[in-house]
Amino acid sequence: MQVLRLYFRHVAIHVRAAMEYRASFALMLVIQVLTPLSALAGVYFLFQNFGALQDWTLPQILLCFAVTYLSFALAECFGRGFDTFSRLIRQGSFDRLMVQPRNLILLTFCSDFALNRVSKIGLALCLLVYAALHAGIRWTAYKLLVLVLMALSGTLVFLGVWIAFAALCFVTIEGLEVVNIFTDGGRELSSYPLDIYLKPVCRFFTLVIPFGVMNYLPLRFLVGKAPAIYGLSPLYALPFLAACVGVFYLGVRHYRSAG
Amino acid sequence: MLITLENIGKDYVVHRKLPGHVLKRERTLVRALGEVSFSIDRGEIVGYIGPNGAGKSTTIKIMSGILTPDRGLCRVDGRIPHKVRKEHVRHIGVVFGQRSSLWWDVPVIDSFNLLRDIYGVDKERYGRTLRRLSEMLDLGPLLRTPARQLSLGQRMRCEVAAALLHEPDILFLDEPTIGLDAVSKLAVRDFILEINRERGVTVLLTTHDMHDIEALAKRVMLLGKGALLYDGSLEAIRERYAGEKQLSLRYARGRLPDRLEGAQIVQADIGHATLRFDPSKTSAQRLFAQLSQLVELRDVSIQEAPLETVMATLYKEMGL
Amino acid sequence: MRPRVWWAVFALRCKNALQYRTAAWAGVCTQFAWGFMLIMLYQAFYRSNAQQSMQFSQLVSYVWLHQAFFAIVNTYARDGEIGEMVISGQVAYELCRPQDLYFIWYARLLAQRFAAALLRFPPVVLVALLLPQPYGLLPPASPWHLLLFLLTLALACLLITAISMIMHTLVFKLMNLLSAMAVLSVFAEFLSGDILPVPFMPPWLRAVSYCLPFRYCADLPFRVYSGSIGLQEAALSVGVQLFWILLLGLLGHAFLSKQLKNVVVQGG
Repeated sequence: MQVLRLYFRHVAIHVRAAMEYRASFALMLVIQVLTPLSALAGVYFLFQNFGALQDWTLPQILLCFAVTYLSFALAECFGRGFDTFSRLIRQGSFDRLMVQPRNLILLTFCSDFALNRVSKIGLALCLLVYAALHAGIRWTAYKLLVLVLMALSGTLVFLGVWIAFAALCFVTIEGLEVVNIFTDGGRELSSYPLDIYLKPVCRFFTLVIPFGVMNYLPLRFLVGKAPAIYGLSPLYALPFLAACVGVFYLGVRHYRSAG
Repeated sequence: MLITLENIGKDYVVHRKLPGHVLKRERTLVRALGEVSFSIDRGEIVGYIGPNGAGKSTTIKIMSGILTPDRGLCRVDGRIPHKVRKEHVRHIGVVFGQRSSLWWDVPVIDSFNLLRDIYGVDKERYGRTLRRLSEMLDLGPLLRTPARQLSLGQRMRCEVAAALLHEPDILFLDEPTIGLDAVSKLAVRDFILEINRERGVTVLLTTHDMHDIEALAKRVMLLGKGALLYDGSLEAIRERYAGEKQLSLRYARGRLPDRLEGAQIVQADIGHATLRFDPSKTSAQRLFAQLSQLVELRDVSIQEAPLETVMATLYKEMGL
Repeated sequence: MRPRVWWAVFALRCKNALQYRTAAWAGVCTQFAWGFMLIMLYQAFYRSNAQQSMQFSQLVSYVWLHQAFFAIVNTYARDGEIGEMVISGQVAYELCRPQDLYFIWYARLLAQRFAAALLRFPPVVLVALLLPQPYGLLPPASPWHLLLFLLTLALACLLITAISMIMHTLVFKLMNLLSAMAVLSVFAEFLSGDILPVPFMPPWLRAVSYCLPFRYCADLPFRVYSGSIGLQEAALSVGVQLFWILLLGLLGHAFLSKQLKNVVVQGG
């Protein structure tokens, strides 16, 4: 509880700081929805040309797309500190966090909050509702729970990837651009159900970096292609996140011994 | 002893790209700290000096629990900082002069309140501390201002206050006066002396400004190339390295000769002159005796060699 | 007119940009990953319905060339220093120099794209050519297609730099390079066929893209290579490219001069 209070006090400060620059904040709100809208238009027009993507219908794909973008936007909003972790290290701000008597992961979460992602979150939510109503799914309480789990697990997976890669910044300081393949690339890749890709790719992004558990596997259950147990696959995000946090602390140890 | 460092050493691994190779890198070990040992007693103010890259910041980071030393033992108030970071940092205050712990875009008081939450200081106690600090540092009108609108001096006063909100027993200041104007420098110095006197806060500060040291610290530690080269009073350094002093005099009647025994005439005009002498060779008394026979002295003043010159001589002699 | 100065600026900037090898390697890896992802995605789409205006092999070539020359066609590329110069008012000093600022900046931006592409395209093209079918880049449809590809690509480079110049000049108005460009870049990116190849667009959108300069920066050269655009159309398109380069160059030049006059007035 105390942790949450501390976090939301920080959020309040970041919101107040953002409100100091209203015009640029408003512009960012617009910019944040343009990219997903452009990607969405791409998906839509491809479907107009091809009619279907294997055995997936457009609303089902849109559901997949919406979960990915919602998760990503939520992760960006709350986990901005990890998304831009290399900056925290480069500017020496991490030293400042280290002299505060709190958990380092909590402090990093507190260090930034991207309020301007709310427009993207809103857009993704609208799309999610639209797709959920048109995907030919007969919604039950369990299925709704699964849908919530999907969005939450996706957020955790994106956060996990950032947290694990943040550990790399302790070693390289600069941050590696290549890791964008797994973050931005992962987002693009997982906006479609993973079974359209080659088997090894599908497996890698289900087991190692489990983007698949946020939409592909549970979606198969939702549309009736897999048994109900698949609906619980998003829970795999929890051990994944735990592993990423472990990697982060390994990195911290390296930082402390290497400067 | 409040703080003890025994044979503390720290190396950095530096990767250097080899020219012509795409992937191969050269791994070199750079020794940031060789073997540094010292101890600081409760209530001391210690000045930590040395050229850039000597390892001052590294030592402070080790004592604050940010870095783990590769060798040796560091104890602060019985704690090994890096092992109990969270517990340790509750009892210390750190100011990195080059970085801010204030949130840039919100009023300073909001940053302070947030720090209260981070450190979990209880409300009543916090209120008392804040009142006292803003009185001493004259923060009143600054508290409602966003940090980005403060001048450097105003900001530094707020930074120092921010580091003390949780009433630490130990204060580490890494270049707290860098870039400050004269008034702010004096304000920060006075404040440090005051909290040291009043609450017995132990202070370790690094600085390049010798006047900080002169005003604050009875004890100076000189770090160079990762080793502790000197630990003692500033006076002793001055005596040893000050060398010549400057004597300015105004006189009526009489004339100065072209040469004086034991002193050098830097500049002479009718009625006033500037001499230079080395007190270890010629005592001031002998010089005066000689002068008073020649002229009628109206006014004299003796100036120390400027501290910067003293330190430059010292650094040079130490090979830094 | 001082072509020698422009050349010097261009050469210096190229030399500068060529030093960022690590970034280039990261870029190559990223480009490969994206290329593979897109090809797998389209493969799945083609499995569902192969009757398309663009053959799969042509699409694969399109994707690889797009990845290989991404640095040239990237609509998001920007020169932070120019933005800084304008926002900080440093630009006033630039005006003291006797050269036409438009061409100096143009040379800078061109060099940035050119050098970045020079480092990135050889490994991508080479590996893509060696990949097994259907994932590999096929040889050009004919030597003539290759020739026209190279010509249209070179002109594309000039054209997108002219567009980029106008975007950079917008900083004078908006004072925030990132925001000013982000909005425009999203549209430019879509209309140039970066998100979705132009043949897959619905007819009305395709018509829009043909009326605007953006598709002549990316869509045109990459489709000429594989023969998805015929020789005749390609030759005609070269004329369109030249038209746009001239028009946007003149517009950009006039726009910049106007903004610079304002700077002088403001600066007193």
